[in-house]
Amino acid sequence: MKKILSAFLLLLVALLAAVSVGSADLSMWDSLKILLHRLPIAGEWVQLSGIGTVYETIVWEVRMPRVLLAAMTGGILAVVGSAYQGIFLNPLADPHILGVSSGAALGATMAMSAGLSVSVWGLGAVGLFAFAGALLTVFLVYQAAKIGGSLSVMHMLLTGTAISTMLSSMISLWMTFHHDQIVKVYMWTLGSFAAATWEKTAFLSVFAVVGTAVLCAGAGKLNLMMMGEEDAKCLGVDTGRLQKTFIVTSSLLVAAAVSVSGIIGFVGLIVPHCVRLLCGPDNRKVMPFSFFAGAIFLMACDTVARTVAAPTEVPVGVVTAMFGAPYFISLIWRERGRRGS
Amino acid sequence: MKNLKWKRIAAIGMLSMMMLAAGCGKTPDRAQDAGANTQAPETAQDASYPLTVTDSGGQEVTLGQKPEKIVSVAPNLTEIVCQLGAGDRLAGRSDYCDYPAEIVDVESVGTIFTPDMEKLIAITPDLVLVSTHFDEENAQKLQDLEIPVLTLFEEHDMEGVYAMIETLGQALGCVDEAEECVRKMQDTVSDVQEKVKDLEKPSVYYVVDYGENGDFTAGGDTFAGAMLEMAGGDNIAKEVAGWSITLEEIIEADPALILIAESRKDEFMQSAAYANLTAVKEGKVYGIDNNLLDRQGFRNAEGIRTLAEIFHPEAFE
Repeated sequence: MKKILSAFLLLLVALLAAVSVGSADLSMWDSLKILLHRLPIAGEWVQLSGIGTVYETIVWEVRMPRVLLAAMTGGILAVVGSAYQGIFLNPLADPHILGVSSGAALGATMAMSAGLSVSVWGLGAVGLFAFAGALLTVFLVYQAAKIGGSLSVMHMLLTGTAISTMLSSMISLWMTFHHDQIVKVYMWTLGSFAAATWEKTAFLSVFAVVGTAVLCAGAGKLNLMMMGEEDAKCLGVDTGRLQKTFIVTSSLLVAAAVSVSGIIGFVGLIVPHCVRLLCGPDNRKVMPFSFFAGAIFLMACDTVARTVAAPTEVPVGVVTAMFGAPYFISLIWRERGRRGS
Repeated sequence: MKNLKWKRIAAIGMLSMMMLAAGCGKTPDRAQDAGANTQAPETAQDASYPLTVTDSGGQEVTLGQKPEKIVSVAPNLTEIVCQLGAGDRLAGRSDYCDYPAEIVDVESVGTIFTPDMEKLIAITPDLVLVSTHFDEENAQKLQDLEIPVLTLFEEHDMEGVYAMIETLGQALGCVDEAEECVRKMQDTVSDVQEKVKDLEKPSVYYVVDYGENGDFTAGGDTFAGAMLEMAGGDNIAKEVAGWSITLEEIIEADPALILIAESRKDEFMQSAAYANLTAVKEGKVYGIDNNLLDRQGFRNAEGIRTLAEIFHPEAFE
């Protein structure tokens, strides 16, 4: 519990740090002052004299929702990654493995080509179609994997891969005939938080809080299941139900994350492994810490993405892989050194 | 395998960026396009603000006062702003805005797709000019912050470009300059068309892209395609809708002249696939400044003249 609290504090510190840097000509201290000014009680004590209102807009309307959105997306991807790696007993499982992202990308592609403009829950047409596409895909994968018997996770993995490949080629086909949309689709698939708003942040936070709580609550049972399905059943775990709960919750989480941010790879794959290397394989620890670690990691990556080459924005997916992979490898080295092998 | 696929998509992406730059993004509302410049008084040079103009997407944009801090996130609109003599009011541009040369001194706010919103807002612009590539959610965000966003694009013909220049002139309070600009363009174009009208049209192929991702040109319904015809050329892709053509079709048509961006000319001429084309063998491949064709604006008229001089050198002696 103490550790969780310190992880939360670390997240808060990282959040403040992320909000205080940016490309606008504004000092870190002034950014913090603007932020503190918005707080209920502390706000009374902070004077904003000398800081233009435009900077208030930048910090509060541009930076803050963006940083929060990145944090929640990172947390969601990492916690779902750890859940999938457990459920599928596969260290290479990531949040996109069931075809969610391909479905979302196909939905987004269609919305872009159709040029629709609707807005629900702060999501534009692209976000809504991506959300719907992601959910439809998981439903399809789930139903297809169930054909001819009960649900098996192995079938789900294979079906997911197959359907994901099929949807990707549908996107390619679509783009062949809609060349003018290729850049938009391509940029979308790289992922970005550039269009973050408070509405999107609110939308995602509902999923982040409820979904993560549901997943973490099942962590103990997941531990048992990973020792063997039969053993877990003997110990009174309804494994089928657990799998279903995990897959449905995770899919909803990923669909929501992808629809606000595009496809961001690597976070969901690597962060859970890093957490395991640091605090052992117990899912009751791995899952909540993955959420915090993923949140901090993606927030940091997005901060780099928007500042390192400003005003040109680097795709955040590029940053996650460039910084994440070497760190992950160094952790593996350290682990080996400790084991003396 | 996945990497290879994305690499290819990235390459195609670069290509279609060029096409986007040529303005093939959306279907404009033609009726509103044409009516765009009829809503405000055209008499005074300083049009009376607040002023409402209709952009190329059919949206009404209201300007509280004469824009003095303009950010243009589209290279062609940057060019028009400067042509209208309002270049000194530009406070921000995109990474791709490179003409006229002095514009490079203006601060950039990033790419034309996802600009740095912080930087853009920090400029406190009173007008943001964008084209089709601009992210709609970002545009919405600016509007929510009460920063007017004017979306202007044209993808079919010169009339649309004239209307676009006039709309922009109105928004900037440069109505006279806009009229002058359009008149100059019309003069150039009609002068060229007068010279080439009775001449035999050479068959022409305009290379937008070539190589392992396929061959791409400007079809009959595109803006660049229309320019080829106006300059007295016979576009071999005039039946094509859009940008795709096959190598077989190019060889079959065996164009008399080939046009390509200057920077890619040598590479194209050395490519084995095109070595048997008559134009390549006879050295009738001409490098051009493709921005004259791709960016809708004042320089299109110059582009038409440049093309006509290549097609019909005898008429310009």
